[in-house]
Amino acid sequence: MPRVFSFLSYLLLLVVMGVALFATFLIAPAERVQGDVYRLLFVHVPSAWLAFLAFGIVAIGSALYLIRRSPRWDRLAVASAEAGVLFTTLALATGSIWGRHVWGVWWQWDPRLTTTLVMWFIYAGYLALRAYIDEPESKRRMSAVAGIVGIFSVPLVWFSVEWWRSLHPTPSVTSPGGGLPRDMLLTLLLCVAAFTVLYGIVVRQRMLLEQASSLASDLTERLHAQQERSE
Amino acid sequence: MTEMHFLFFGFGVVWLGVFSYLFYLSGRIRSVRDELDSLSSQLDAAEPSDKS
Repeated sequence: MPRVFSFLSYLLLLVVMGVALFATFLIAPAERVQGDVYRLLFVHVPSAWLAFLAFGIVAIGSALYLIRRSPRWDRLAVASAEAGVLFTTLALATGSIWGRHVWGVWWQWDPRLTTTLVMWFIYAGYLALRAYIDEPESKRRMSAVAGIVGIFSVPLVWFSVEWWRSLHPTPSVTSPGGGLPRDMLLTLLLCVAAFTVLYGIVVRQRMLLEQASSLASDLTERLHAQQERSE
Repeated sequence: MTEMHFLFFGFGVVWLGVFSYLFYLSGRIRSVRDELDSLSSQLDAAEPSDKS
């Protein structure tokens, strides 16, 4: 059953990603001012949205772990944090490339860019924290606290373009009157769907890895105990 | 660089990033799976001597 589920999820990813790429390059029209380079929007925005979603899931998983003390929620949190760091990296990289074309520089200490970089460091720190604590229970408890505290960086990134003067444009999809034309919006939604399927697959695989790693630790302890008994 | 260069550079970075991560993840899964196999066989080998 898990193999069938994996196969179907990869098939879904292939189909949705194929349709999204088709729409990106062949359906969405070129933008009047920026021309074709604006198509970076279709990878930049989904990466940023997925980063927000991933860090939201980290906070939910962390809170549920502290309430229920089930390692399953901790596995969800760490899997989502790793995916979130990946998508934040992609959002920063594509934003930098797009910025180089539009603003003429690879990086600006602009509020949106700076807060996104801070968010990246917070979740990279979350992953580093886990790597440095050996005792499983303390690792889960401390990273759950970090996962909940870290979520405060998400509204900071989201509202940074409204709270401070920023080169980065305000959200064009959610702002009233500033929406995208229909074909662009449809393409963007398709790309968000494709990236969400990718996120789901990455999180599931990462959760399975975490489960297998803790099983390996348990087996190692059992083996050591057995070796000590036999000596 | 023209706008098409920036566009393909951006998409290239995204796909390179995604595939590198998936490759890294599958490598880690493979190594944990190997570790589990080796631990299971070590435990199986240790159990009979434990009983005796």
